[in-house]
Amino acid sequence: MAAPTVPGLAPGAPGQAPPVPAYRGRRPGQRLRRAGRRHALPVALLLPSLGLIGLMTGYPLGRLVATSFQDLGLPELIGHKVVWDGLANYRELFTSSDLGTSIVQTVLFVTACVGLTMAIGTGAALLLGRIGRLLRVTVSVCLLLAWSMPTSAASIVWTWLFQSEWGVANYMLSAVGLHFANHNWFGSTISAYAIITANIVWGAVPFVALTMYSAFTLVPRDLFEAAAVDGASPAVAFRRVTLPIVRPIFVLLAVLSVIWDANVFNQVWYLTQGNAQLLNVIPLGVWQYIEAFSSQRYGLGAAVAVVMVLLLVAVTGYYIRIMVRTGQLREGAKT
Amino acid sequence: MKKRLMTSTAVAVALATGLSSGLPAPASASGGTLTVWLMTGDTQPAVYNAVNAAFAKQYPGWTVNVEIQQWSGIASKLTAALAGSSPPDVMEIGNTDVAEFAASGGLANLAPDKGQFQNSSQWLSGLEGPAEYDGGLYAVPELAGDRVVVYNKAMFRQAGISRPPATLDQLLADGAALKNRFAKVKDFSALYLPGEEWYAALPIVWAYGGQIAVQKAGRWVGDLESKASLAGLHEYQVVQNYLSTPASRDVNEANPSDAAVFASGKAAMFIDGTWTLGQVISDNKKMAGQIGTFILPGPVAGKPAPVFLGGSDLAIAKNSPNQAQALAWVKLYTGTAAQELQTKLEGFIPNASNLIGLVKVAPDVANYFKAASVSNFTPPVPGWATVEADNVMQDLFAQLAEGNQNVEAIAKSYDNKLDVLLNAH
Amino acid sequence: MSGPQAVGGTPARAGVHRAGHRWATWLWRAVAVGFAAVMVFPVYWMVNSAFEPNNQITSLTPSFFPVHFTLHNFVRAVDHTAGTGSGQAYFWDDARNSAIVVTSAVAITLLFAFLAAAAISRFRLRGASAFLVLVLVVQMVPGTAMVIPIFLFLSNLHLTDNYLGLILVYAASTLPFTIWALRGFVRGVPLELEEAAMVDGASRLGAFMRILFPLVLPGLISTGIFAFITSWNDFLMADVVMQQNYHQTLPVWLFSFTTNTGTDYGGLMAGCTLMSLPVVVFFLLVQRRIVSGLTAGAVKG
Repeated sequence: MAAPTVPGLAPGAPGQAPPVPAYRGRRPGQRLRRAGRRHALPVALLLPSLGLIGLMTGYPLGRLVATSFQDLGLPELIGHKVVWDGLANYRELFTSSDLGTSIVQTVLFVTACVGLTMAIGTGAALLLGRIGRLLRVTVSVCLLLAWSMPTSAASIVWTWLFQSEWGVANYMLSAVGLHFANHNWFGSTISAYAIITANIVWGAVPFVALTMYSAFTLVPRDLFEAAAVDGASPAVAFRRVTLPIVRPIFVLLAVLSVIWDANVFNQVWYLTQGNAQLLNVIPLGVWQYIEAFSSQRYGLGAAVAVVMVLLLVAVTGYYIRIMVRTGQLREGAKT
Repeated sequence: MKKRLMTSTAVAVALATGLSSGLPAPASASGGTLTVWLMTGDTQPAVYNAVNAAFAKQYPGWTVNVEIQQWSGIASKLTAALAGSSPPDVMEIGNTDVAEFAASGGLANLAPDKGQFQNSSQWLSGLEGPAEYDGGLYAVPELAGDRVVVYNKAMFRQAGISRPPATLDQLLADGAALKNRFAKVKDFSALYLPGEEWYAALPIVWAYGGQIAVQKAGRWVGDLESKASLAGLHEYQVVQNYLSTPASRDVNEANPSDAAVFASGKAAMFIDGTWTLGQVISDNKKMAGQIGTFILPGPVAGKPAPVFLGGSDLAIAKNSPNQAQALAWVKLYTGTAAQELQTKLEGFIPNASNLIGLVKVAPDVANYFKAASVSNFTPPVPGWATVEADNVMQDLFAQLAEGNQNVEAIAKSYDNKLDVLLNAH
Repeated sequence: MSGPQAVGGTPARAGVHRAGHRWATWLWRAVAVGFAAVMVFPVYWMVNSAFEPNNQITSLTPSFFPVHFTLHNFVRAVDHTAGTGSGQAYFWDDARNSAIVVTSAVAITLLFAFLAAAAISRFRLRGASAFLVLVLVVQMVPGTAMVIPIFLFLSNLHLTDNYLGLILVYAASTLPFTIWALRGFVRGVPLELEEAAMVDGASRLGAFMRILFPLVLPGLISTGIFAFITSWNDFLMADVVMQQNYHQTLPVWLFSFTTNTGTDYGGLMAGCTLMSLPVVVFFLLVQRRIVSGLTAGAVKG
């Protein structure tokens, strides 16, 4: 959701403009931000969000972190007993033979999901710009329908579609002459992961496609046409004009997708019908659930969650920094 | 339908008047609200309304708030509620989850009051066992359900089989006759037995005297490698592979629905609960009158395989401020009158063996009730919940169904798994 | 979300080079139709199943059309006298609860996020970047891990089984993305417009509400749809927080079709179909609004 206007670009030479993110330069309006006493207002504006997130997520999050240093089973949880356990949960986690493979598997899984989601989603967004209004609304409604389908129903329908005996997938593949009659999609780890990935990508594409489409429409057309007048090829114009403007939202969506897909639980759980053993080693998000809820070891489950957050911070930290910077007024800007 | 309603009203009135008359009026003058959590699909308003009416006679001024809960995510919801500041007073807990909550310290110990419950000496052990922990009793049996073999009478007749098999060998022989007679039916199963339907598979292991796990020196150890268990596991593999389709080896009983497979004529037998009988007839009207049932036989005639008993218990939260009222309500619900009503209206098996013959049922259904008297249950330890949540049993039987010849190795690896899961904490 | 610059019959082509050839146009149309078909197929299957009797849904041959058409699944889903004892009787109660909880949560999210985005984008504020990072890190915690801590917190506040508790949970969980996304929209609106209003005597806050707010409306709507769908479909928190049957929300109600003896797939699919309707209606209502709003923003830029 970058700027429709890009004041940072030098007027008259939009085609040659370097990929400058919106609002990087000094702006005429900065005098408004001069007085220090005005800090009361922004703080007041920020306070409701800060308060709500701090209260509803910050506090429970603190509790979760504390839990990861406790031996917390069902009796302790119900009896409100606190048994500090030091680093025992982390020690158990890091000496577990499964951790390494689980991390590798999570990384592969998330890479596949996010890569496909972003590629298909962005492609679909570009496609939406090339078709007429009626078709566009139709495609948008289809996307929205897929997006709004409750996960429980979607997962049930997906298991039906890929059911070995009477699933539509095998039916159609057989109909075009491929040997897929009674093919069991959940018979091997790779193909089970493939179905789960397809399910997740299907569910995530609408959000990315519709959001990226709105980002593309924010690119001012005159800017783009000016580039064309200057003789830039469409590809060059796309790279120089469009990309800088949509990049922030693209990165935000990619980072969020990484976060959400690493935490994905429902699709894996429903599609394997709770039979996560099928996947040999399970993604971290599911592992956390199994430790906490199936095994009633809330301390260990919390430790898995904490490790996962740290991993996610490590993976996405660089991009988060860039995103924060992009939106910021330049460090040296006078106020 | 009308008749059924009238009966239930009559019983309800009888329940309300009969049960309350003999009891002394309680001292509690003030009144309050009792909150009860029941599970979806397990009970009908006619049953709990009757219990509530009887309860109101005992505790005038008290109202009962019955809240129906969903099965999905119920363990975490119960956990959260028990750890929170206002848990429900009474809650229904599935009998496979009871053990871990019994050990959790969140439930009231009902052992001192056991004698006051009607039929408590005859309670079904599959429901009572998991509720016992460390000498205490943390829940009481509410209702049960089990599975027997459902068969197509016409198909049996056409294959020249005159009576249901009395032994597993006979079952295999009958299966051969059926397969022979219906060789032209595509994807035919003599006995449709999905590989993941562990409720149907376990009885074969039990029939050979095998166990999932046994207690040794205070620890639970996997017993799948024992001679008896191995014999059962081998027999299961033979029965599954010989009588059911290859496509059924790694599926469960719901997808595709075993009843639908049976109703479509692609199977002569399947193993499932009373609730599937109606499903078969609604799928295929021609099946009416053609359905028979028999208890899965064992290796020896006259000794059928013990059935897997599923069901629910009722527990009282330890932190409930309304202990007396909660106890009174649970006593009414688990008592003879309410159990009778529940059995009539819902077809579930009552909570005590002496009540099983009380309600007259159709011959097909009678086998389900009869089977419950020889039942077995999974290890009553908190760790069992993990075994279920991780689908360990489904995996075990699906692997065997896949035809892996090294049954010993599979048994060993699952024993190792069970040793860890059952002794966690 | 949908076609801003489509007003006046010109399809939006911003950032996309003009497809010169007629065959290319048809190619894109074909690709779009194929893509839409794949995306909507599972939804179609759900609706198809919703009109079929249960014994057809999981039968051995898939049927692509509701050959044995029936409305019974829908009747069962909404009839408060049917499915007694299973919690299904509460469709209308739960639909009302969902509507109240979700619209309140979305309203709070949008208002709070708008204010926060304005504060971050229009002021140099020490700690603003820390705030943004924190908000994103909070998203990284697995939702399942937070269920019990959040429940216990609400329980301490006596906010369980209470609309407010669930509203706060949803608002807090959708705020992070909304703040981040709105921040981009706010940055996109030229500051001069607000300055002009302030020259005319409006206060800073007044300028935000009168000038900035309408200009970022498209952003509010598209992030609003995100917040709406996320909250509308949540089962995990709703199930744990709400206890009385007539306090629950639709995703919880959906699970009343699953008992320990099996699942009523027809009823479930009918229920899901009913649940999807408000989302689609809402989208169709606001999509024109997005068009005019965004175009306005672009023109003024």
